Amino acid sequence: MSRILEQIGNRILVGISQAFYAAGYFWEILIETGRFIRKRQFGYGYRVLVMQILFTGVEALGVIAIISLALGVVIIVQGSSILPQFGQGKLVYAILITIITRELGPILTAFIIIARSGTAIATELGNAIVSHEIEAYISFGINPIAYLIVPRFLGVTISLVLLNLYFNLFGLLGSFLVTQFIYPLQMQEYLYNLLNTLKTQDVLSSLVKSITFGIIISTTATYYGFKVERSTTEIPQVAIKAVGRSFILCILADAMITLVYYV
Amino acid sequence: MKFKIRFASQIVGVFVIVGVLFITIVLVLMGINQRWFAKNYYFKSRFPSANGLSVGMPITFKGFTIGKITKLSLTPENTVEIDFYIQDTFYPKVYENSILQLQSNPLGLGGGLVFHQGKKPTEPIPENSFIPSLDTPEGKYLLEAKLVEIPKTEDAVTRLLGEIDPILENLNRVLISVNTLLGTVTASLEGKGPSPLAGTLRQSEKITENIASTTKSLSQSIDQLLANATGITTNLTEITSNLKEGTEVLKDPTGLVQKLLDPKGSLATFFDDNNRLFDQIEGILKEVHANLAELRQFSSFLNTTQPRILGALEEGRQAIRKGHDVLEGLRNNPFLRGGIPPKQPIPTTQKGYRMEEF
Repeated sequence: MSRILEQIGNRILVGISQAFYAAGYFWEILIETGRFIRKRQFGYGYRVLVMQILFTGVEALGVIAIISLALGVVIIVQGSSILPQFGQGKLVYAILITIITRELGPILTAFIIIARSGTAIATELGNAIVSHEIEAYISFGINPIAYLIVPRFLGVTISLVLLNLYFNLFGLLGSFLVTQFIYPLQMQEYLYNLLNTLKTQDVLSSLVKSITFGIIISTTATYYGFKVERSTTEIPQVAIKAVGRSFILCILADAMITLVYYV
Repeated sequence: MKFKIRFASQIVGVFVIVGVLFITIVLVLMGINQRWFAKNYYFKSRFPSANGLSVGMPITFKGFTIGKITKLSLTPENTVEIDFYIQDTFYPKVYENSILQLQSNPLGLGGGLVFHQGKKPTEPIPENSFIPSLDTPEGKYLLEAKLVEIPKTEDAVTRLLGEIDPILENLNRVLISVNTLLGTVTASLEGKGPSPLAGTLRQSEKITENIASTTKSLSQSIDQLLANATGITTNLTEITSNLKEGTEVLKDPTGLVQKLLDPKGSLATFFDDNNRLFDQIEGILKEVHANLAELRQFSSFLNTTQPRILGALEEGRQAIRKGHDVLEGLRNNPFLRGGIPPKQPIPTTQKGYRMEEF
């Protein structure tokens, strides 16, 4: 019995220790990010940031566009054909904004980024550790967090916010244009109703969610990437952990933000 | 170097700019659409109860939403004070003596907070002024003093009744039509009126009468026929009895046949007269033969003389016609009468095919 308690106690202590470590790690990232922005380093760090946005944001644009277009078309077509039968034709705009802008837009974008960039970042950093690149940076006096993590942190977060905006652009406007071939609607009427239904808190919620998910994904991916110690076999394990933990944290954060905004 | 890597900064720049531009445009359009930058004019009002009132409830004027309730509070006098705003575009409509009316209906159709403009056009009342509601004494006074006019609006029940009324009228019309139709049908069935059915029934009645009379006469005829048949049957019975009697007579060996075939009877005498009868018959036949030969000769003579007879007849006919003309001429002599009349050619009624006009 005492051994069980001892094990549970040890686990809790390890958990708390890891949580503190993660918090300290996150704090370090925030400090270095502030320093990065304040110093306006347009050297290598900026180049890494640009490349990160390119890989995370621009390259994921196609997938995001297709998903959001399909989702928007389905909502508009189904909503415009079913809801008027119950005298609730205008609900289609509320449903469109709830799904595209408020809920599914940020979370689906986050899932795509986790699957594409979260694994890539964790694997890249794990490989850097295994090949002693981090030690080389340190020996040259380069802060690996400032050079490797901050551009990825900013790049993933900015990309996620932008991809979320593009998700809305394609989901709300692109889908409308596609729908014209199936279920013609008046452009003016559509935009008027959409803009009347869209509230500031919807936009804010969406932006806050995407920023939060960006921070979670980048921090989790880099955190688990740095967890690799010496073996290459650890790399896929940390990548899987990074993905799994990112999913869970994103869903929890999504639920919390939704609760904060709408309850 | 790959295009994407070479122009990474430009691509990322475009990616960021388009995204930022999109959110900026959306926010600006939202602001314009939702009047973020428009001025609202705030006013106060009072109601006896907060029932039917809520924050964000729209205030309408002539069906347009002109403002919203921003705050509800309970005063120390236990009345409900509301803060509301009127949009800048409708602010000039807020004349003095305007009132608010909370419209509600038990069916939950329509209703809402309605703004009624003061009757006399004035400058808009200043912001934060008190606009009484119709449920307060101030509002009732303004209405009684006819400083404000509330247009007659139909509540849901009246509207429903209004919708039912035409339906009832239509139903009434249908019932009248059905009644008329039933009257016509009844009259027709009685054989009255000008309708085809009535005529048909009348004709049917006549036909029935005719059939009855025909049946009666037919019955009489049949009776007569039956009487005749009875007579005929009686006669037949008599004939049958006669035949029976005749048959019985024939069956009698001492009857007529026996008498005829008797060696001393007439037939035996006829056949046994030494050909006297045959000779007489043969003589008669020879005479007949000679007569027939003479007759044939006469016929051949007639055949040979027939053309001449016909010519003589034709000449005679022509002579008669000329004589007729002469007599006619004499009768119509100019000295006596009018002379010989011109002959009227009598056209033949039969024409040849070549004489026909095409």
